Amino acid sequence: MTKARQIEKQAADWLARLDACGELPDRDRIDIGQLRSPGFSEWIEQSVNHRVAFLRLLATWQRTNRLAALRTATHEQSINTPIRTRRNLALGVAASIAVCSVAIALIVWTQPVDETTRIGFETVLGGRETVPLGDGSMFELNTSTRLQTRFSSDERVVILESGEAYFSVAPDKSRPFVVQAGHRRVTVTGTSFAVRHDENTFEVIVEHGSVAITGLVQGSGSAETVLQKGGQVLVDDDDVMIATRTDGEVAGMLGWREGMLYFDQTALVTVAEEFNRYNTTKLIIAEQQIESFEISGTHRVDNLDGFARLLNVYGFHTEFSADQIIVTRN
Amino acid sequence: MASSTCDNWFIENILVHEGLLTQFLSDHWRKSDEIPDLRQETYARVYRSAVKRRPEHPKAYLLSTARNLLVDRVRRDNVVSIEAIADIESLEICATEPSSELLSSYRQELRVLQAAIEKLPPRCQRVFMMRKIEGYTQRETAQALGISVATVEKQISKGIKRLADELQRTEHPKRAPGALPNRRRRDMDHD
Repeated sequence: MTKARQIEKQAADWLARLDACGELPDRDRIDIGQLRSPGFSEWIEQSVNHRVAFLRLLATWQRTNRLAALRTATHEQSINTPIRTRRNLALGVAASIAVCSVAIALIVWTQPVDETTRIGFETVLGGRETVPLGDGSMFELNTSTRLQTRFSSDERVVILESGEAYFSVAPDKSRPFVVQAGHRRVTVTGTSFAVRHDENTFEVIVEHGSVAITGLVQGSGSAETVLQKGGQVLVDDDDVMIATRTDGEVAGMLGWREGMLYFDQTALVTVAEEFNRYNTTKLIIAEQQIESFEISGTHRVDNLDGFARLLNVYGFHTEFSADQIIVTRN
Repeated sequence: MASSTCDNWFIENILVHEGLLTQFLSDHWRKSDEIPDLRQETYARVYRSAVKRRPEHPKAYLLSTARNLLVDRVRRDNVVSIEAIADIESLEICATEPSSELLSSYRQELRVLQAAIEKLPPRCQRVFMMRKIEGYTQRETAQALGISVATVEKQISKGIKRLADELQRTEHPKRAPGALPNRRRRDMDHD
């Protein structure tokens, strides 16, 4: 080992030792002169090479302080919980360690605000990402979705800015799980459900458990709409529809989680809109007369070729160009 | 002599340019295994003189110190090539401080950190994630992972060296203040 590498190793050992003794708080400015571990100041004073080698590692260490922004449990929760109950957290922590490599890939921003850390997530067109959380919950983002988490010691808040997400929520009576979509709030204690929120659309589908929705329509105040298993609410512009779906229908509506779209006598124009959420190549239904043709069946979200062939079988003409498939009568 | 303000100045104005320095040294010195020594020696020289007087243009000063060090080494090692000395001596080091292409956003910095952490060997990676993401102390990390505190300490030492080598390669932004600047939601960066 060269002299420089030897010194770098000593510096690394010193940094690890100082951290073990709790002497390196997560602050951006540390006064080396104040560090008290026995032998350290002698080693630092021995040579300027020791000092610069140590500063180099310290600079890196301080840079990694930023990673704290990715913590999903609150600082209080993970640090002040007594060690005995911490063992349960270890499972949650293991999950959040696993998520860090997944979630970091789609984290758009983080921002510590008071006692919470806000984290922004985003998927691209055609994207789909699963994010397990430290409390055992998880959510899945569908195509072109923007979402924010704001977890504190009082509640678990997710802000669905736009798009669609599926939630599987671990029960925690002390911390309600709330999905906020525009002016609407979907509150749960332990359940699985999906929420979709775009400019004109708001939809909730409950897979298991129950949810309470407030703000369903403008002016509804604090009135709650409660959905049980199979419950669906769909607000499209001003139309509000509430229905109860069978398990099979719910599974179909959540088919996007496996990359599948499920249609049941759905108008062709709506089918095209749905495919277009996931693909940069857009289906254009060029003639008004064919817009309400009913399509049923299951399709892969990204298999436009397959769907176009099916349309040919139905007697439609499909013309492919650079980023469009134009559908007309034959 | 050495003070904590010099330490912080050194971190913020000299160490941020390690990528550039390493590139410079590699471009002008054939023996690549000597680069860490040359780098460390350059830093030491810069630090010693900065304690007496701060250079006005840290980046330029860093590179010209490196250049002078190479010239000294060439002479000391009695390397015969006169062109080598002339080459190095004639290297123009910009006197002005052009603004470098800093990583433009917080998110980019997080991605860089993540990529570096992912390159760590598995146990080292887990220790670092618990220590730095979840904020466990070394002792708590040892308990949660079921390993000894000595092992955790060793992994931190191993990991910090690797992370430094990996992270120091890129130019990175100076330390930012605590929170993000105030931004309306629409203005947030989209890559």
